[in-house]
Amino acid sequence: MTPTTSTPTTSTLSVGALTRVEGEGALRVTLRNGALESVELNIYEPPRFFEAFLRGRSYTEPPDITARICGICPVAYQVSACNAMEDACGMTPDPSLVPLRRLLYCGEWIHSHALHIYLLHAPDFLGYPDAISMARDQREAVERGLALKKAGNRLQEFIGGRAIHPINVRLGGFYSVPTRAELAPVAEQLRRALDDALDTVAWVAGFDFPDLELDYELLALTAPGHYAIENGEIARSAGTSFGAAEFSDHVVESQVPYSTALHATLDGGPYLTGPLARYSLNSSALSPLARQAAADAGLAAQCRNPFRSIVVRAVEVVYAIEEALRIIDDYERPPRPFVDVPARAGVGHGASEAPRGLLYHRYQIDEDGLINAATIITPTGQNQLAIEADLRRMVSENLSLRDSELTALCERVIRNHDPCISCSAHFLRLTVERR
Amino acid sequence: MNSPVVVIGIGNEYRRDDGVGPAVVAAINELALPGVRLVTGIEDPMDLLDAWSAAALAVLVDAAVISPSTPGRIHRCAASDVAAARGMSSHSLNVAEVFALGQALDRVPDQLVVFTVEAADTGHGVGLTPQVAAAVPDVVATAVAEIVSRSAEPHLGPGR
Repeated sequence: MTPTTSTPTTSTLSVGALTRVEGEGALRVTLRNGALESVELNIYEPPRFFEAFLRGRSYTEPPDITARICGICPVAYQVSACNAMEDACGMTPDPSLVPLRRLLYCGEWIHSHALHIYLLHAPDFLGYPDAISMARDQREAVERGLALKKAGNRLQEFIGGRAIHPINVRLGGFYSVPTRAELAPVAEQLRRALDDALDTVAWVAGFDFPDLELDYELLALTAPGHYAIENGEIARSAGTSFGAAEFSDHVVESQVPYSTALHATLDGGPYLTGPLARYSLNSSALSPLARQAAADAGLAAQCRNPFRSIVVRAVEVVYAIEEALRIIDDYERPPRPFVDVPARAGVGHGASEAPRGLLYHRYQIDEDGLINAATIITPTGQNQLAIEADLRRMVSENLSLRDSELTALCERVIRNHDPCISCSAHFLRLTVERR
Repeated sequence: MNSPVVVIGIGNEYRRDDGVGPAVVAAINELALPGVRLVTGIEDPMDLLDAWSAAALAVLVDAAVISPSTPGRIHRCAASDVAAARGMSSHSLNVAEVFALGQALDRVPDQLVVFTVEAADTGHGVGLTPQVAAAVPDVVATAVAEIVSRSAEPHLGPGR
């Protein structure tokens, strides 16, 4: 960061790159006469054109192609793509195969959340510039985080064929499915990880959280009987639920001049998807152990403080591990690894809960099974307005801070949401301008 | 399972020259060197912490995509030559960042040597291009020389 002062009334702060987020972008905060004028989250990473180059490809390809959008949440892309394409083809996934999709997804939640909690987010609360500095003093905690992450990676690798960009997912199911005996060592590792996950909740619960209560709407999948991960209806905090097919009736993307990522609104307003939304809309669906861990950590049934998202992620890790163990415990090898999904002309919609929030896919295919149109709406794209709203609140309430402190606070506000700019278009140069 | 020396081949052998790391590991495997552990299939750079922890010497071999490129050209560097970590992102921990994290956790080898080989083709398919294939024996010879000279040091007996 390089503070420069050009006149007594104007100062500009520049951060070369915002760290511990994914991708490339910038944040511009403008203050005029000591009051906040504007906040612009500027994603300048070039668009990636996935929706364009999916056109003309076979309907069977999106699970593998869209997985490449993200190295951390490829399963989310695979599952949302399968949900959408199976919907287009009028096919419901075989009930014997759904738990394996959920199990694979649990692996992704565990490793993605563990990485964010320990290596990206916790340093903010403990006053370290990065995880490496933190690791020197907090070795036991960081080792616990790495063990937790590894348990998630191994689960994803075991079901998905490899830890990054799994290759075992296909429309209608999987290329191969494990035997019950093969899952035993995975369960053993997960049982150890459950203790680490509970210790993680207790660890993050002890952090200091700045006061911030968000008032925008929340959007997350919801499902009867369990915490929604791989599928569900779309629930919202101020309105009735709707199906994935109605997503575009409510969520509209628009272009803003300062960003290459589209901004999404829910019925015209900003909204948030991700851990806070999931938890606030679905906390009663958590397992008793996860609910107890949340209560012990001081969480009520809803959580609207983005700084506490680290606690919610930790609770979700507990849930994901328990859920994985439950699925493994109930597991009977499905008779077939997949069911055929014959192509038919139509439009399909699919959504699932990526670690960072709701991920929506829509495909239109012709009678030959070729894709005519593809739409992918990512969690970070959806959250941009909410992140800007958080920034406006925090900057307005902290105008007396020195620019360097204000800059650090803005970076924390952004990291609360674990933005994946790579998925939304990539992050971050930060400028505070006082006029 | 710890050995005094670990050789780690990074890369995907189904992406042509990206497979040079595993090819060097396969060639060293043929030599059946005592006290040398071989690792391939690293996907997440964080897995390097487990691969090289407690080793006296870690040799890491990877393909390099450089423009303009001289395919088959070999580069050698040590941990101290790798640029300092600049702060992590959620998706792209590099070897330097993992090494720095490993140092903080006391999970680094005593010595790290990195060999990179400039690639000509990292497209789909198995098999190295002739220029990169020709570099493999040179990398193997240099790496083995490093291993032998390191093993000759008196404080590095087997089973360290």
